[in-house]
Parts: sequence; structure tokens; C-alpha cells
Amino acid sequence: MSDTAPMSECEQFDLKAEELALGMVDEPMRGQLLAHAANCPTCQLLLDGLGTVIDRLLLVAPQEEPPAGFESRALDRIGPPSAKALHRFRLPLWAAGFVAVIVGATGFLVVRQLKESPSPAAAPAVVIVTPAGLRLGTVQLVANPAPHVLVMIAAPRPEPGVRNCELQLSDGTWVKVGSWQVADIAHGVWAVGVDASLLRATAMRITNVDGKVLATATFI
Amino acid sequence: MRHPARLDLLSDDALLTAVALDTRDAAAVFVRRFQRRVYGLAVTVTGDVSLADDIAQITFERAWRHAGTYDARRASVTTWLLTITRNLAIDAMRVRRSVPLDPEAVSQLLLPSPGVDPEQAAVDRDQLGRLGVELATLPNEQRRAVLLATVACRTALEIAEIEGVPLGTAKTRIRSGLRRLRAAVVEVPS
Repeated sequence: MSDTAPMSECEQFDLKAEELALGMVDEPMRGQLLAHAANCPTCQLLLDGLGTVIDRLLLVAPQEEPPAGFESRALDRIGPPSAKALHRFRLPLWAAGFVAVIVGATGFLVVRQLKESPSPAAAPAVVIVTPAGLRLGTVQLVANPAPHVLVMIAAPRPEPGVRNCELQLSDGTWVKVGSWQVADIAHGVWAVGVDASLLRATAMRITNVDGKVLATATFI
Repeated sequence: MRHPARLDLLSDDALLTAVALDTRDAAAVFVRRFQRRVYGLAVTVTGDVSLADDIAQITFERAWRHAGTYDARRASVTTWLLTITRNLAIDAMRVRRSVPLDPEAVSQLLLPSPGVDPEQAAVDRDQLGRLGVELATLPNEQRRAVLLATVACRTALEIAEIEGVPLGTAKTRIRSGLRRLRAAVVEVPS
């Protein structure tokens, strides 16, 4: 074999196996490697073994007490609906699998020092709907551990473009609080830290770069 | 309805089943049992307490929604839950890769967490099994690289910067460490 002989698919897979198992390989290479593994028992075995190791190592992750009020905030999201939660929209099961998390680059650092403040309950999540009446997800104004807007998007469309999140103040004016690249968030959750005064917003809307309103939600 | 005190006695698997049955008391016990782990991992990956708080909450919500699909043959409840946390945190960090990892946090990865129940620590050791033994015997630089990649979800480039070594060296440490750990837990055909 000469030095310039191309590597076999298995050799290429072997070189990338750790990064693939760690989720560090981007498309389209990720898809190519997984397609190879699906047809190659040896490489699939390697990938499964690395995945087992990586998952099990999470048991040694540091443990830390969450901020005050975490338990009640978490329980507000799960379990049988309380009176308050009856107003909420739960993502359908088909959508839950697409949930990811993303956070605006500017928000949380500004308000991190407020994390020790008393913790009133977050406002209920409300449904985000498109002009056509389709449920896009939910939005929630959360006071603790720092004031922020939490958007859960369930629409499975990885398309290019930017989306802006705007809040409406009580005087009717709109304030842009952040934006995200659709392709970056895939299908998931976006959040951004905001000034506490914005937690009294009356509505939220999502717009594109042209200012076209793609979806809205009403808090009161 | 079960009494919360009795729910405390349930195994992780049984408790998750109770959560799947929409028992609010079970959900409370479930959150209480795992919140330190879930939040701790989220903070380790993101370095941001607010973001970690959200990720931890969403993790529990996701667990509740998918409790019925949990397969005990594939992973322990703890591993399953932490995998959800890690995946959510990785997605979050895709747009915040510039957040530096506190050197103190790197050291913490190599130490037992304070306040961990000794009984729970024993269960962890049991679940880690041969993997834990092999991890302890890895050369220090390999162990650090592996834990930074798997627990802190750092890329090879970030690990190279943190450790002050060339990218190729960081990749080799991750690769060598993971292969050795894999050999300890998986029957590798000769």
C-alpha cells in the first residue's frame, strides 16, 4: 500500500469515533459516519462502547445545590396540573423530542447578581401562535433566579434566518429583547435575560429580519 | 395516594414509574433526589447559574414527559437523566462557546462533591464499577482530558487551551483515555 492510498471508511470512522460519540462532529460528516456505522457492526460496536463510557462518566459530575425555589419551579413544570398550570400549554410528545436549549449572548450575565433575591413564582407559560393559528410553542416570563424570557419552540423546521423576540409594554410600545438564528436553535428553547421591569410585559411577538410578525403570545 | 415518606424509600426505577403515573408527590421526591446532580452537571457545562437553572428544570420536565419510555436495560435512571441534562446543555452552549471554564471547576471534576450522601457515593461506585477503577488508574492528564470532554462537554480545542497543550495532544489524550475506559467496560472482540 502506498502512503497516498485513501483510507477505508472504517479507518476514517475510527479516527472520528470519539468526537462522534461526544457529539462534536457536525453535519454532513456526522450523518455520513452514522450511516457507515449502521452498516458496519464493528464500527457500531465501537461507537456504542464509547457512548456507554461517556454516559456512565456523567456519574462523576460535580453535584451542587440549586438556587432557592428550584424544586417548586421544577414542579410547576411537571406532574398533574395545578390550578395555575391549567392555563399552560404543554408541548406535545412529538415535539418534546426536538427540544434544545439556547441562550442569548447578552442576557444572563447582567442580572446574575440578583440570583439570591426572594423568589416569587414565574408567570404561567402562555402559548405562542402563528397568524394561521398554529401553536409554535410557549413563552414564559421568569423572575428567578434572574429575570428572563424563556421561549420553547416546537416547530421542526431547521431553516435559515433570524428571529427577533419583542415584548410589548403596557403603553403599547414594543421592545426587542434578543434574537436567535433559526438554524442554531434547531427545535428548542431560547432564553434571554431582561430587566425586571419587562416581566410586566403584556405580549410577546416573534418577527423576522424584515419585521414581519411570525407569531404572537399574550400574557394578560 | 402514596405518602411522600414512603416514596423516599422507592428505588430510582420505581420512583420514575410513579412519576410516569403523574403522582405529584412522586415528582417532588424525584426532583429532590436528583436536583443536585442535574443542576451540578448543568452548571459544570454552562458555567452560568441562570442558564443551568433553566436546563435543570427542562431536564425534569423532559424526564416526566418521557418517563414511560425509560428502559432500565440501557442505563440507570441517574445516567439517563444526566444524559438529558448534558444534551440540553450542549445545545445551549453551541451559541455560547466563549464562556471560559473556571480553573477551579476543572479541579472540582477530579474531586468528590461535598455533601454527597455516603450511601449514594457507594451506589455510584457500584454503577461505575470497572469504569471507576480504570478511570482512577488513567494518567492524570488523560483523566483530566476525558472528564473535560465528557462531563464538562469541552471540545478538543478548548481542552488544548485549558491545558496549554497542542490540539493534537489534547485529541490524543481524549482518544487514548476513552479507548482505555471502553476496553474496561465493553467486551472488545479480538
